Amino acid sequence: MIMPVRTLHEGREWPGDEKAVARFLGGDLTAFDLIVRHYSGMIFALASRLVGPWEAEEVVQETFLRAWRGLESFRGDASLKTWLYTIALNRAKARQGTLARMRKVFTSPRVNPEDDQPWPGDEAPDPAASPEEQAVAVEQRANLRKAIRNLPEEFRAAVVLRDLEGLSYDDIARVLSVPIGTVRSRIARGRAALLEELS
Amino acid sequence: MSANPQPRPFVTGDLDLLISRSLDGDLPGEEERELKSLLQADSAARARYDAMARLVGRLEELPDPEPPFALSTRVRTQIDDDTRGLAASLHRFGFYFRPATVGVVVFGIVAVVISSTIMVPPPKPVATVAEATDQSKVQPAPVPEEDGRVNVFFAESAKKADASPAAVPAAPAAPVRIAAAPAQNRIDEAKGKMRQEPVLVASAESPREKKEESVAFAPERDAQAPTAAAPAPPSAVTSRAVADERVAEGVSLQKAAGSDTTRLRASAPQAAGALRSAASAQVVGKAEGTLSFSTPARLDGLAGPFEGSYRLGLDGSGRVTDVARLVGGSGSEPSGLPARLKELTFAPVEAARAAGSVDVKVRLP
Repeated sequence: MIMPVRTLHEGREWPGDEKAVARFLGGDLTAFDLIVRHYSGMIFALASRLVGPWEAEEVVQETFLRAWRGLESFRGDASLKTWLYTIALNRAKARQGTLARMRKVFTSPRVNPEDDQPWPGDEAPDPAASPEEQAVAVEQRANLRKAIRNLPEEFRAAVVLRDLEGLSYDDIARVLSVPIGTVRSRIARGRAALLEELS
Repeated sequence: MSANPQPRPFVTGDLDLLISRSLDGDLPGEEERELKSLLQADSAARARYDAMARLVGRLEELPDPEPPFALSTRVRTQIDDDTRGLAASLHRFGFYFRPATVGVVVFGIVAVVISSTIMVPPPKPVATVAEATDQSKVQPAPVPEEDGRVNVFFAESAKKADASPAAVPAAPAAPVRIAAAPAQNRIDEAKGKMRQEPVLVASAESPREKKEESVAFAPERDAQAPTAAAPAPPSAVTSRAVADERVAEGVSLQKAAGSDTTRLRASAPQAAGALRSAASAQVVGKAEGTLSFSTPARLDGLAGPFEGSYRLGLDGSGRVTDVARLVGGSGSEPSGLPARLKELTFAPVEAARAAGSVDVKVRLP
């Protein structure tokens, strides 16, 4: 008779937002591990697009620390992802403000030394592309990210949340705490600004 | 009037908004149709649409940045470091304390502690004047260590009358007895006068040739007895000592072991009822504070050192009917002591009658 083998991940499957939060509020601290494991990659991606990959980990740390302390205030009106994105966005803004002030003091405010550096993973080779095509693709991605970074903050957040994170207009309105009409306008103006930047 | 009017011209912002919403599928059917007709009629608008669609496609294809290795583990470790402590422990039981909540609680505790410290009422006097008349409310004070010196303290008011060396007894032999101090003493003591820093006006060794038997002294627990009940002191010195509340409070006589000399001894000011380690008989036990001697006990001629406790049976008038020594004590019992104790009477009579018996402690230095 073959007995099922117990795996390391048994009992660690993502139970869903509602159950994970309920377990955590009931005193099961391992439920928060599940939340971190499930959402840390998403929060890191968002933070990378807002403040760059070199500062993103700090934003992720602060985001989950705030989430730990305030999870009992999560009421389930929005998804846990939206709630975490709201925290991450605020932490990213605070981090960016701190970095901007530091750059203003120590370097030229127009120079961001991270803009010219390729992101981790950007140089991964595409087996179907020639080396020249790969180099062009890497350059285009770098230019696109630089253009995103140069967008005004309110447009950048709206475009990132919509086109890179795939949030709906309603969720973006919740994360940014603005009316949905403002979300539409910011996304359209952000895209137009990106076109101008890349042209 | 045409049935198919030309699409109204768009400003750039309006066109970008329509294109953006169209790309996201946010345009309702009517506006979507209007945009399509515009794009068919306007090549520039069509080019704008295509450019924005390519941009959105590029954005969506932008790869997600790779999270660093073991990011979730580091996040969890960081949280553990930052949330270690009581709050995290309580969290395991379902209790949550936000930092703001903890701050408010700590602030409240600090405020309560500070207010209780500042608003603490002034210390209550040991006894009020009214309470001083009630013997039961006056508590005894500890007796200071004896050092063999004679220190006589007199009040300012009594300075002129009693500061002379005549305060040291020179009277003929008289039995050492337990006399009653004036009731007024207790009132003044209760006013706190005696508990203030004394004014030292005399401090001297008593002449060693003075006889112990020549003076009487007022012990500490006899102030409740009415003045009239106390026998007249046999000497001027005793008279002064009894008359002056400060002397009555602070002065006692003791017989130095192995000698006939008597020392007039004064200790620091004491509360009413304070016990001294000089030759004395004192009420102890439950009756302490309610019963006092109304007839002095003759303790002269009894050889010490001795210390022992006795249970005295009382009759209806406060007289001692029988004497029983209790277990304990030190030294050998003087042979005449039980007979001397039988000479005692206690007051008030009502309390003595109710008590039936009283425990006393006898000490002979």
